Amino acid sequence: MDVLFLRFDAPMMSFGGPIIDNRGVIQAYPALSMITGLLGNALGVDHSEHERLQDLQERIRHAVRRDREGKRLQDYQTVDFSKPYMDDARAWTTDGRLEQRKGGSASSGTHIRERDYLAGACYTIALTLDRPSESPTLDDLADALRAPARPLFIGRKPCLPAEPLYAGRTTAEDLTAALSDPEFFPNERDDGPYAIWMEADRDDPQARPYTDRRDWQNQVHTGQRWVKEDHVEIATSA
Amino acid sequence: MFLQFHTLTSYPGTLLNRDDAGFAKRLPFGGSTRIRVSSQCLKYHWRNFDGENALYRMDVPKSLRSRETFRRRIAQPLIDDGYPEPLVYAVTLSLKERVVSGGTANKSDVKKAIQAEEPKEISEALDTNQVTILGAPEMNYLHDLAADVLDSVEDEFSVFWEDNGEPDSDAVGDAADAIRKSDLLKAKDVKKNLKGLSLASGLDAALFGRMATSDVLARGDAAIHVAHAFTTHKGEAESDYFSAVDELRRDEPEESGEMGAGHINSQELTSGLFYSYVVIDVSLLVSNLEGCPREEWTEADHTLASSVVERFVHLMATVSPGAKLGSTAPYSYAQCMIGEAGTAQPRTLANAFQTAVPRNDVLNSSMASLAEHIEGMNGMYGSTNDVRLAAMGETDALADALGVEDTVSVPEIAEWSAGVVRGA
Repeated sequence: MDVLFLRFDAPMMSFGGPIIDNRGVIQAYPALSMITGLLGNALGVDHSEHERLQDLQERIRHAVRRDREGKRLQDYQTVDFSKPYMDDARAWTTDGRLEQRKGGSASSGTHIRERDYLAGACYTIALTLDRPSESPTLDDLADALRAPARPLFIGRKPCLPAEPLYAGRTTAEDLTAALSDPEFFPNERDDGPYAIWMEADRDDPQARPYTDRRDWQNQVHTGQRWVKEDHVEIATSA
Repeated sequence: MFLQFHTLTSYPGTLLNRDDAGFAKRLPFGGSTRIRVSSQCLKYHWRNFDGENALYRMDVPKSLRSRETFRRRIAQPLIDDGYPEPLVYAVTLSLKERVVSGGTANKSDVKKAIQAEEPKEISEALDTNQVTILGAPEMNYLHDLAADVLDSVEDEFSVFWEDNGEPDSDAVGDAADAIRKSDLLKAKDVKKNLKGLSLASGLDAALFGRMATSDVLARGDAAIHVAHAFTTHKGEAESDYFSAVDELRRDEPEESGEMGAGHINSQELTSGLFYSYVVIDVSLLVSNLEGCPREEWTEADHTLASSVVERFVHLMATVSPGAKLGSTAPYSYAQCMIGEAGTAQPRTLANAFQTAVPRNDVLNSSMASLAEHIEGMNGMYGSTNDVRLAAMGETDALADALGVEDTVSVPEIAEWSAGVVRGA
């Protein structure tokens, strides 16, 4: 199969999980929806073009390798709801009615938010597309990553990449084989083994359900994808 | 088209950005812990700065086309969609009035707009006195709302849709009322929503984005991306023990039985040379400021965007994250600034400091690390960006790595950036 590699290398990145109350947690590896949004951003897809995003998400098959573990960092942030620009009288919507806070102690004053980040980590993603001849093709994605429509970020806007995200192309038997290819490891590498996450059959005893598919029209995550954690070593070339 | 800016700024003996326990925010990076200033902290001070080059002090030329936003971005597309011109002017005027003043358009004004024939009369009716900054999401919503209003009056006032229809003066008056008083514009929810739209838009949202609602179609995307700043070297912190002296008690120790220290505590002070990185998405900035679809940004007016960018470069180089102003005077200017313009994927140069630079001669060591990193990156990926460097100290290696003849001043980088936006 044709494979495209993405490299995530940044002082801070974020693989967002479900936010409960004011606590923004992260997960160990990027969600399918995040990869879709990132590629959509590179292609210049607009928020309103949910069909293009949905279609792209359905076609993506990806596996993730952790090249450098990094450290978790909890950022403490405050929001002052009394500032004029936080006033919910300006929360207009395209439905024709304001979306206002419902009251209660969390709707005024200073609000505390905790947002987690991964500091100093590095990941490589091997990605391929179902229905490879349809648009966008892997070639289109590669072009879009090299000269994206918008600045690209890894999970949150302040998480700006320290290297080009496009990290090369190859053909490989499968995504695991691609992630073992010695050519597509960072320059400074250790001996491994390297943790990888990949889609698995739900009967696989190691597989865990993961809700990382986004319903782009309704702006929520739905459904399940079964993902298993495994590891790869750098293949010694025959 | 992207503009990227990198700065190195030294802050000795300050506490720029704290966590919930009162300690300086930190970042583990490359095996050592750095002092960090969050992006939201930097943006807060840049957007609220109230001195020279402040974003809100912009003297935007009166001729700016943003005054014509309603005519160009709402009326014209509706006419292109095939709606009858007279009624398009009526609905656009009614919407403008709702958004700008919150009120219902005056009947005689709407009638005049319907009967307008000269371009001058049309622009008098539809143009605003002040610059109106509405982004593409706002424009899409207003356009759709206007189309709904027109659709709702089509049956009753079909004469306007007929090829040789000649509406009499009663029809003009009734159509004016039907449009300006349409429930689609006058319902309480809609009135509040349009007022909210007007409040929410503006320079701030155009630059830094707006995410007030769960409605992704109403969201304003940030045109300026700001990374967290961090020290190029291992963080240096000192616990500063202090006492607040109660002068009344101190002066009368026999009566008070105390030496006078009313309060003792300690706070953390840090020193460091911070690397900071910003990307400006020029096409989105123009789209946010001019209300045009992003893909049509090259045809829009770039005057406002270029003056915003010019100011922003000055702010980045000179405005400090202002914390503990009275006790630490945290005012520093950047000692090194790199500007880049191009279309390749923007990337931070943060990895130049993955190995913490030695603590002696920090500025020159950091610039040397930057030079080495830039050479490495250019060797691997090539460089197509147009580059400017302003710096003090030993700048030769950095200038060589960037491929520039010489350093320039920060005002020159600001002017160059504005020129890039104007010419883009």
